[in-house]
Amino acid sequence: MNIHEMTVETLYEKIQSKEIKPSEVMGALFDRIEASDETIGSFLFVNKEDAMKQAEALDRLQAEDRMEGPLFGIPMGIKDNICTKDVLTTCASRMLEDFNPVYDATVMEKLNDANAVMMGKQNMDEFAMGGSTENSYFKKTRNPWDLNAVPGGSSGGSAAAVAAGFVPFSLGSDTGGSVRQPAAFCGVVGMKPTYGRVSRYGLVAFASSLDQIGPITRNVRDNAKILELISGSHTKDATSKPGMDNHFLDGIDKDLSGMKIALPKEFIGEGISDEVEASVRKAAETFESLGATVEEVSIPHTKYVVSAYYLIASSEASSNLARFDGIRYGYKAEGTETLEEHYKKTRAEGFGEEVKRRILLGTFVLSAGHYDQHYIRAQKLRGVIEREMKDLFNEYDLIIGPTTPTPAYDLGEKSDDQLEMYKDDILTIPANLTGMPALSIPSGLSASGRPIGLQLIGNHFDEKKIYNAALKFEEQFNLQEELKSLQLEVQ
Amino acid sequence: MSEINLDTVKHVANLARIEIQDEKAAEAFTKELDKIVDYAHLLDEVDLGETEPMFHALDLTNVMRDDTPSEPLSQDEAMSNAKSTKDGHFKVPKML
Repeated sequence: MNIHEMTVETLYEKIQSKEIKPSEVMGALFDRIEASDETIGSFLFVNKEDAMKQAEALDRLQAEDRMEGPLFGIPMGIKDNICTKDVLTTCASRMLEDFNPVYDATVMEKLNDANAVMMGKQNMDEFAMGGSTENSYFKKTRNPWDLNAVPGGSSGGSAAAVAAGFVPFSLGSDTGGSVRQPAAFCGVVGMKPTYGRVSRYGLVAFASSLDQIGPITRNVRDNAKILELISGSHTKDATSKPGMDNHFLDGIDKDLSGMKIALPKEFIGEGISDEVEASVRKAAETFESLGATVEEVSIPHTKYVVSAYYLIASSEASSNLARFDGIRYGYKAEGTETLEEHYKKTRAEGFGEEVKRRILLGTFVLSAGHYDQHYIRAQKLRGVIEREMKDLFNEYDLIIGPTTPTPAYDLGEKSDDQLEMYKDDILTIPANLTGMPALSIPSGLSASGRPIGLQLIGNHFDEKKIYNAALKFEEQFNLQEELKSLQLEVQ
Repeated sequence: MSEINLDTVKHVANLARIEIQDEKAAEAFTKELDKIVDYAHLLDEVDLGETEPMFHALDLTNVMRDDTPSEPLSQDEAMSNAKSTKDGHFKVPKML
């Protein structure tokens, strides 16, 4: 088996048994990146010199049998909105083009302590606003399954890199689907954990009541393992919940008899492509064949979640992005006379169009005369959705549905119509609004050979159940062989 | 009736401290935002009178930690990303 085809678990075993050295792993993957990432465009910054140095240090520890850390020698890629000390963190924005954080995000501290090695920072929609990675200030990313297709977004670089075999795992962030949707488009596994499961300290904030960091991997077990390692509260994120059980691999293999699964009819209704609906229905049959029961249910207010989400997320963004003032860090406009002019020019030149649009929308929603009508009503709708989903969890273990209404679309196909792209988030938004955990795993391929994602949503802090069901499903259907045979070059 | 017009966009851009380059850009934002806000009015058809707003997914309150001093960032570190500094301070254009 080639190194780039190996999962986190396989690499770990082969390094522990001294079959391969960390530097060999790293070298093989950098070779692959150098050969093909000009085409895919998943990395914004390749951390080669540093990573190779670290890998060689780990080689020496390996030789001395001092292989500590649950990710000893495992390479990783990181979405470029997660702060990495002294390593560029741009959020794919001109605003942070030369920003070097002076501290590590909590998740980076944890992964560094586990002895994983950071290979580089990955492309995304600017400030995580978008669903195709076409909003990056720096470059476009292509989908390794089909170079004419978008990789999804906003964690598009991370999902594409995992699918392309550049890294065995990545971290993304998910505010309205930004881990799950690109994972679905790229045929890999992506988790949005329960809100509060993972510390957000060091994640550049987009919408603080919705953001969560989550792993993108090639299979379910790796995903559970990485989430175990990045979970846990931190005093610098007061919304991370202390005292939770973060062991997801224990019992992940349990059989599914007796499990009750809900399939909301709104998730396979209007706007969902036939291929996607067929794939979910087939997945439901698979779960039944595994001993679970699947029943059609209803989440009646589903059609309103997109409206509520964009009002809430943009409001929070307009407040969070006020910090970019060109004074303490980030882009600074030249030649301004007054402070007000400095702010206005800095922000006009530093932010891209979609970011400005959302700041303007959020500022409008929060402004006098519109707050009650828009912001408060959106938050009320959020409460309605949570109640409807909580009610389902009184009776069911999991909710399933598609991750996205369609498979990946072509580059440029939707980039001129924001509202149409926003509407595509209808299936992923409920988990963010309610804070519930949700995972996307591959469930099929479209006629044109693009992956289709199945979403499993759990009750708060019920990730274990999600991983259990996902693993059993993956044993019946996966895209491992197809991933191995992807052609990364323009033919 | 549409809530978003050219004046709203200019007002909001001023509040958000974002200069809009020219009239054409302002018109484009007006059109796009109008479409989005119009879509958000879908919520109008839902009776939300009795519902409490849900501002947050977790019901954590009063998260406390021990009041122990720790090493803060040094001044040099804290200012290392600033484009304009003087004598250990951030330097900005005149305020008035």
